[in-house]
Amino acid sequence: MTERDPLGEVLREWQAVEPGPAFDERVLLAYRAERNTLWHRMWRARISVPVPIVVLAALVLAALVFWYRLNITAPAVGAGIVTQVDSNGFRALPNGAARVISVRDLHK
Amino acid sequence: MEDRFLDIYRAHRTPLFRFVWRMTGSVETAEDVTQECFLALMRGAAFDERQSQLRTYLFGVARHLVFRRLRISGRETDEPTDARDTADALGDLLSMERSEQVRHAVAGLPPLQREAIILFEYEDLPLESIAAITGVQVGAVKARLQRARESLRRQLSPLIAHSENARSEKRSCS
Repeated sequence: MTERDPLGEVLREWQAVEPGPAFDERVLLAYRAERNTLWHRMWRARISVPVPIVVLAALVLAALVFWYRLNITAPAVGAGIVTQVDSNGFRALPNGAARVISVRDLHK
Repeated sequence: MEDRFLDIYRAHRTPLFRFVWRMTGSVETAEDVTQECFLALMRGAAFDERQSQLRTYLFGVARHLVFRRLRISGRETDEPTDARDTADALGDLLSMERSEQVRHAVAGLPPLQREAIILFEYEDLPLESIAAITGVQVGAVKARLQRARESLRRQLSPLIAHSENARSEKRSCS
């Protein structure tokens, strides 16, 4: 059996108020507003970046583009085929006179 | 998601509201703080399920907000209680008077002692939970409770004596 506490009994004469239905409604509305705000906040989110970081990122990007362009290689040409594109001394050949020769035939 | 929120809200709103109301004596503050506690939970304020129970966590948030308001106001709220409070007691003036005396005595305690006595006597929380909420050792909670009870016994001694007399009279009649 627990010991009776006269002070505790007296203290419990102070009854608390209870939150009413109007308060429940208020919290529910606040919850919905907050939920909508979270969505809006997400879509309108902004981050601040220091200017030196932006400049550095731009330089790195430019360097990457430059490096990529330098490393573009010409398509591989098969052995024995020489392409000469030069308009000096160009003479149009009569129809049917054009022929393909190999490098060996050329040296001969 | 809303259903989950409402479940949590319904399970914890009344103890939280009562606690804040008893700490501040203001229905308006109790409503504001209770609402803020649940919105803080929704916003994902740091809560670790493995570390503490939800009720302890919510009481901790409420306590933080209450003490912040007390610090800002620089004094403890002593506004008259809401009409809802007194309406139920109109039929019994004597009871209302006794209730008012108790309220006044508890409100007169220093905030840390008041908090301890409210959580222990009115919310029936164990000492360990009160220690977790207030962020102190169990020994400190016991000391605060002890001091609060001594102070209340002194202030409410007429009420306690009256209550004891009424009890013994009742016993002798039966």
